[in-house]
Amino acid sequence: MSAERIDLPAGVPQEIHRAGKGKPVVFLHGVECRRDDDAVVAALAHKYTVVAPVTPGYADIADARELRDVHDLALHYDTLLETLGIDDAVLVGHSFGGMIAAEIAAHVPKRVARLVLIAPLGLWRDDDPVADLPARLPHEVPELLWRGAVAKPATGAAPANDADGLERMIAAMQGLATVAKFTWPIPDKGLRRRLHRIAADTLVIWGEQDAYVPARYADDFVAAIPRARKLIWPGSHMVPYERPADLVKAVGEKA
Amino acid sequence: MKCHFFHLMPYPALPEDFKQRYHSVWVDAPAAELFDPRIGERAYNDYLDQLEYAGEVGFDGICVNEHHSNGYGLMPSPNLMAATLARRTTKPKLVVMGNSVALYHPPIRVAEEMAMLDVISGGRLVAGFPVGSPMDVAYTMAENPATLRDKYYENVDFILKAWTEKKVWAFNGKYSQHRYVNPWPRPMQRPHPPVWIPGGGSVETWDWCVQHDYLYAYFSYFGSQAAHKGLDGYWQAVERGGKEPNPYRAGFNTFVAVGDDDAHCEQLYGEAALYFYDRCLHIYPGFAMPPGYVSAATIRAGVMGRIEAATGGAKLSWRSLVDAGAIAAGSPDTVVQKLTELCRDHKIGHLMMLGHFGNMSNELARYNIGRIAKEILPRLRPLHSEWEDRWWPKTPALAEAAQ
Repeated sequence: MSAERIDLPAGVPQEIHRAGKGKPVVFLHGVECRRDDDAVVAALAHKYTVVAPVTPGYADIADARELRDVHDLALHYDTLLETLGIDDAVLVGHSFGGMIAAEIAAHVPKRVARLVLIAPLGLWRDDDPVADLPARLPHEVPELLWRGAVAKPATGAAPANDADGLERMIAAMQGLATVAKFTWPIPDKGLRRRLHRIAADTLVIWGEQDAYVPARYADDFVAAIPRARKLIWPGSHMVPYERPADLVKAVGEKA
Repeated sequence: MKCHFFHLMPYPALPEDFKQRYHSVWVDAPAAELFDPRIGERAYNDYLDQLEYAGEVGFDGICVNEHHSNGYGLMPSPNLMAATLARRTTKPKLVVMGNSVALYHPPIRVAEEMAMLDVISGGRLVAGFPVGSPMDVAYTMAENPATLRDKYYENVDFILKAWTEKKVWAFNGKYSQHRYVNPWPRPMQRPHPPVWIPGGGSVETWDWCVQHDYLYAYFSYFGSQAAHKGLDGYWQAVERGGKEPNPYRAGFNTFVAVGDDDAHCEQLYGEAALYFYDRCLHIYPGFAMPPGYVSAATIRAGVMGRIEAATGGAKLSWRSLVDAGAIAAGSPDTVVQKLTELCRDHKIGHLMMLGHFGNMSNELARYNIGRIAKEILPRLRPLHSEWEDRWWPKTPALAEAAQ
């Protein structure tokens, strides 16, 4: 896997990771960004050239200063894809990245040929609200994300109270600050009004026991996107990390 | 030096097992279950009486502040409280500590209301602009923590310009836009009321206060140790900024409890103090640290004030609170000695005294206020007399004469 920094015309610094060979697939990470240590990126790289951007702000929240809302962010990614020469994009987004993938496909329908949304944020139901992740204590966040997992891959436990642990916590907080910037206080920023614009062949995947974004939101996405179907798998919000091989297979299937 | 009376206006009837039964005193403590308006009526009126009384007996300023959705402090609108005090008092300055300006859209509302207070009170307003606690701004008032500070700076700059600009002007800001800015009334104090910035220890705030010559007031409930943590960095910033180390550019708050001796104080104030620390500070830590609220620099510096300390576990007792310097308590001699050391060692020119805390009764609060005014204030006043206080209302002569 290789990391690079792309300088875009508007001056927002963009870090991307690339891995694998084959047809390009763009992967937008969830609330946690694992950079060059992402099991889903690694699995997709067996079959595709994976381009995995790090959301601006994850390294330093100041980088996202001029990305003021989801519209700016969606258009920023359109500029990135243009710069990378990716026209008929296969766009896979998980969680927060799923929301942004849907925004890109709704803002610039012609850019995206295939859309895979895995437990995306972006909608809101009063009768089944998205959990308040930012109000969880740092050590409670993984518990919420992985609750209901059927297969839980080993994750490195964060060391407590050392300098390394502090820096890790600061990095996680920076990432969540970026998520907060585009989703506070409720992750409904009007996506519902735009979903009808999505032209891509769309697959919506959800972990049945997702404790962060309930799986019933899958129906709302499928109902609003013109060409969409859903796949519900046993598992948590982190279902792509539980079933990376199934995800790779699903990305290759027609909707 | 100047001594002020500060009221938090806590809800005084949280149940004894509040900490066990409820998740947090802030944000999600259910008001429909816990708030009794009849108790609220009594509390508000007693508390306003206490502020007025403090003004009568000689405190330099009386202070109110802003908090939302909580049992810790019942002042979602400090300006309403200051408005009643403006009408019912003539001497004390009105220290509004203050308006969480990032919450107001458009922020011209704050410029207008504070100017009204300054005019009604004859130029007695101190204009405080806090960023606001995370529980208040991010969780209750739903302000985006990732952009909060940027919006806060923009709004403070806007208000200052709204008070001082001579012409009608247009404002094309990032967070608000106005085709016409022309607020009526304008404040009585020229060029504008003194600006005080209450802070919880964000390192960015120190340099910003120095740069603009705003007073910085460090807020903590952990006394002299906290003063060390929160003010040392500020004084370094003052030095870095090439400004004189004038104690009047620094404020601090502390609980004060006066009795005949230590044992008498414990008997009088022990229950109220534990009510405050056990119930009013029972804050779910998840509500105290929204992502983006504090910068990486502040986390690294380890100066995050009250919440971290407040929720840091150990079983508290009256003795431990007094020993740690959280409450300046004792006989008048003891209290004078403690506060003199505090204000001398940390160069504090404006001391905000919380003479009421927790579920203290009205009678006891008035007793404490009376003793502080009579036996403490005259002995603290000479401190820092070699410095000029440039952070204090310059009440116009006419208004002074009318008083």
